[in-house]
Parts: sequence; structure tokens; C-alpha cells
Amino acid sequence: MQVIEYYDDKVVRLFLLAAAVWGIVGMSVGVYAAAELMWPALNFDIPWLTFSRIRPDHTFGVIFAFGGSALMGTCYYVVQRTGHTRLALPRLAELTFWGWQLVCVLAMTTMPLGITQSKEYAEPEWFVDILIAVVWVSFGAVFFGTLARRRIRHIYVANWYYGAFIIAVGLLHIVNNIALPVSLTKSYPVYSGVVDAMVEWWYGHNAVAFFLTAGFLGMMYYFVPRQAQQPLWSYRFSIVNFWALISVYMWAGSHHLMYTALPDWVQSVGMAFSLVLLMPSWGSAANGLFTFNGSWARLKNDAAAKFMVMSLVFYAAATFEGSMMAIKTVNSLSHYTDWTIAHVHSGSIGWVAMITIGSLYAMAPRALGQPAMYSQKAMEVHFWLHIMGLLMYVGSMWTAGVTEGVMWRATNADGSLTYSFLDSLIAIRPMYLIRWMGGVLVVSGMVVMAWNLWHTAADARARIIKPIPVPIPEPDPDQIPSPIPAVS
Amino acid sequence: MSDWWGHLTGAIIVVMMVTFICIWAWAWSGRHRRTFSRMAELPMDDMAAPTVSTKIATRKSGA
Ligand code: HEM
Ligand code: HEM
Repeated sequence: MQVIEYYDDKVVRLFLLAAAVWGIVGMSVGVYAAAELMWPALNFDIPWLTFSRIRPDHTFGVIFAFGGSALMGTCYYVVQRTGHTRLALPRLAELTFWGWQLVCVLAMTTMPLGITQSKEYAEPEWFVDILIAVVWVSFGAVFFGTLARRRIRHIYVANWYYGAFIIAVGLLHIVNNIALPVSLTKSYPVYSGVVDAMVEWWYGHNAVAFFLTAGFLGMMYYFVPRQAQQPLWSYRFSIVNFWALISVYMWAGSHHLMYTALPDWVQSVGMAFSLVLLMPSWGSAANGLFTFNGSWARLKNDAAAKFMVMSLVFYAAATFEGSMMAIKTVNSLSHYTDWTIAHVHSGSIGWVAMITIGSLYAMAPRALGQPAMYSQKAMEVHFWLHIMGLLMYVGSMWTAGVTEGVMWRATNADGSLTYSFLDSLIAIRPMYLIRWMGGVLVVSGMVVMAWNLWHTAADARARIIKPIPVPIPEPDPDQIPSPIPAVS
Repeated sequence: MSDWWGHLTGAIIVVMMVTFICIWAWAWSGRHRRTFSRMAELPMDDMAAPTVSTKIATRKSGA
């Protein structure tokens, strides 16, 4: 019996569009925040334009709006392809798209008005939080529903990462945001004092772990072999890395609270787990990079592959740096300085943004019914703009961070501080200028990508692309891996 | 630290180490070799149209 089924790519296209738009919005806000640090008068004394109000808009915009849209879109794409089945619950899937966009718009408009829980990366107030929880559970239902109707018995490793991302982020979000609303726009968390701090950084750190790492590793494990046109270097190694990564990450959150009121032993546990974490992190980075073995020549004229390779290099670099920063003595220098900001952005503009851009370039033509992106040259231009901007950003913030760290701890013979805080600010001003310029380059690259996607999407806009049929194999008793009978 | 707490944490560590070794053993067992090598190629099934040029598509494995 032959069934004809088509991949459901409409919702994938919607998320693709959203990722391109939110990327520009979120990073432009970052550029504006960077400009305010350089030229403070740019806030014009308007409350909603002040640094404190737009900074969370930047972080929410890039992590949840840009990253989230890209993750959900690629997740829907990958889970269908790796299971040889179409999406379960397609209407709910489309609802997750509109729901998520509503979440992003609500969060990004309320935070500058001062409506905030003041918990980093969890700023939106309770009514947005509830909406996030609803959308997230629906996202999970679509994902696991699709897995349940797969036609390949073994679940491809990318889905393990996506699945961990969905379950963990749901858990983190709900536990961290338990609060008592006192009005529509104000709520108080049920936690207080050091418990609040620990819950917040258990959440914050695992947002890095499961949102900015596990989710994007899902993307990596699918799109890297696909783009390299090589099988994954070691499939079994990817499984060991998966379990190691998710079991170690959960315990490392206290490295954000070194030398605070948190009990000393909890800080040490965080430090120890952070050091162990380097192994599964480099395991995945190596697996991705070695997958390119034998197809390095591709890099010459394939900008998507370039983005992927550099993202893996930055993933390895940022995780190495993170493990070092988790050592208490190093942290005593780096904490509160721009070194943290350098680490964050080598992880986010380096790893997160580049794996996303590479994967979007790989996925977009297929999802938009084209043989290739509209302009290869524009992809190349984007790559160089991005890498230049990234190096300027990270290089300047490392320099600024170490400068601050060293100046703040310098003392005179009588024990008084050698430098005032103002001295350190003046010393790093040139670095703030370079960071801002780097940001402008990165955003320009994002605009180039949006332009390129717009042209690639010409047929999709005209609604003349054909859906892609699901390959449904003839029943074959010896098939590897063993098939599961289709449900319909 | 009380005695029973020390025993409990010790036992948990042993359980975690054994679990970890079991995961390695599971992943490396010959039983999965054929499945895993097919899975490692799964992403390439989708490459009817690569992003660079349509010529490279000749290596695509039909699915
Ligand atoms: C155009 C590129 C970007 C620029 C110019 C930029 C700029 C900034 C600025 C000025 C800050 C505040 C730093 C401070 O408080 O001193 C910041 C923080 C942050 N940015 Fe970006 N950013 C960019 C891209 C991104 C991307 C792509 C991501 C994530 C995917 C990201 C994630 C973050 C995070 C998580 C923080 C908070 C860091 C912390 O609290 O330690 N940024 N960014
Ligand atoms: C082995 C992996 C990693 C370890 C051990 C690690 C460790 C650390 C440490 C020690 C800090 C500084 C905490 C402080 O002094 O306040 C930090 C901050 C941060 N890291 Fe990582 N990191 C790792 C990977 C990553 C990756 C891949 C990203 C991703 C994009 C990332 C994003 C961040 C962010 C956003 C912060 C700033 C949090 C804040 O203060 O707002 N980290 N990390």
C-alpha cells in the first residue's frame, strides 16, 4: 500500500522569516546598547531608552526571539527529515509560531516600559511567562508527537538534543518563574535571598546549557553532516557526549555566584562540574569538525560550510574559556568585567549566531523550493562581515576585561586603590568604540542575509513551490535501521 | 557530615560511574554498528539540492 505524504514546511518558512527579522532587531538593539556605553548621552534622558531598559530587550531579542525562532523552525524541519514523516499536529505547530511571536512582541514592548521581574534572562512579567509556558508545552507536543509517528526506529541524535532542549527549558522556565502576581504588571518571586540567587542561576546557566548549547547542537548534528556531505564522524561518540553533556551541565550553575553568600562548597561543586564540562563540549566540537574531514575543499566556495566550521571553532574556544573562568582564582579577576561580555559573545555571536546562520543558509533553499540561495556572493560577504565584526567585538572586550580586572585590584603600598573606577572606564573607552563598530558589521551582515533570503523566497511568496514528498520506503524486512509501520 | 550521608553520596557516585561506563558499552557494542553507520548518513538524504551548486548533488544517496 503506497501512501503519499508531504513534509510540512510552511511553519518552517514562517520561523525562517521570523529568525531573519528578529536577528536584525535583537542585534540592532545590541548595537544601540553598545553605542550608549560609548556615548551615554544617546539615552536622551528618555526612560525607555536607557541602557538598563534596552539591555534586556537585546538579550531577549537575540536569545529567545532570534535563537528561539531559528531553533523551533529547524527543529520542525529536522524532526520530519530524520523520521521520514510529516509533522504531527500541524495546526498546533502553526499556533506555536504565532504564540511565540506574540510572546516576543509582548516581552520586547513591556520590558522597556519597566514592566519586569528583574531576573536576568527571565525578565518578562507573569502574564508573558504563562504564555511562554503554554507555547512551550505545545511545541513539545508537536515535537514528541512527530517523533511518535516516525518511520525510522532509531531516533537520530539531533532529536535527542532538541528533545532535551524542549524538556529542560520548560522545566527551568516554570520553576524559576513561580511568582505571586499582585497586579497585572507586577509579581513577586516565591524565592528570596540566596535561594532566589541560586534558583535564578540554576535557570540562567541552564538557559546557556539547554537553549544556547543543546538546542544548537541539535542543529549542528543535522546540518553539519548534511552540508559537509559526509557521514557524521562518530555517531556512537555523539551519544556518549549527549548523556555526559546533559548530566554535567545541570550542576555547574553556581559558577555564576563565586564569592557570594552562597555556601562555599556549592561554589566548589560548580567549579568542579564546569571543568568536567569541557570534555563533552569539546567532544561535540571535535565530532562536528572531523565530519568535514575529506571535504575541506568545500570551504573554498561554500559560505554556509564556512559559517559552520567557524562556529565549531568558537564553540570550542568559548567552552574552554568558560571552564577557565569557572576556576575561582580566575573568576576573581574576570567577574564584573567585560571579560564575561567577551566570553558571552564569543559563545553567542561566534557559536550560536554562526551555527544558526550556516544552518539557515543550508535549509532555506530546500524549504523555499530553490536549488540554491539567490546569491552566493552575498553569503560570502555576510561571512566576512560577521567574522570581522566578531573578532572586533571579542578582541576589544577581552582587552577591556583584563584591563578592568587588573586596574581594579591594583593597590598602593599603603593598601589604598591605585585607580578610581573612573580611571578604568576612561582606559577602556577605545575598546567600547571598537566593540560598537564590530556590532555594526555583524548587523550589516544580518541585513545582507535578510535581503538574500527575501530573493530566495520569491517563489514561496508567489505560492508556486511544490511540497516535498516524504520518502516512504517499500516494506523491506532487512532494512537498516528497522522501520516502524507508518501511522496515518 | 553524618555517616549515612557519606555512604549515600558515595553510592550515588558509584552508580553514576557505572551508568557512564554502561553508556559507552552500549554505544560501542557491535550490535548497533550497522544502524549507527546508516544513521550517520541520514542527514545527507535531504541533499537533493545543495546550497552551492546543483552539480555536487550527484553523490546523494537515494532514500
Ligand atoms: C551585533 C551584535 C551584538 C552587539 C553589538 C551586542 C551588544 C551587547 C551589549 C552592549 C551588551 C551589554 C554589555 C554590558 O552589560 O556591558 C550585550 C549583552 C549581552 N548580549 Fe549581546 N550583542 C550582540 C549580539 C549578541 C548575540 C547574537 C547574542 C546571543 C545569541 C547576544 C547575547 C547577549 C547576552 C546573553 C548578553 C548579557 C551578557 C551578560 O549579562 O553577561 N548578543 N550585548
Ligand atoms: C563548558 C562550557 C562553559 C562554561 C564552563 C562556562 C562558564 C562560564 C563562567 C564561569 C561564566 C562567568 C560567570 C561570572 O563570573 O559571572 C560564564 C558566563 C556566561 N556564559 Fe559561559 N561557559 C560555558 C559555555 C558557554 C557557552 C557555549 C555560552 C553561549 C552562548 C555561554 C554563555 C554565557 C553567558 C550568557 C554568560 C553570562 C551570564 C551573565 O552573567 O549574565 N557560556 N560562563
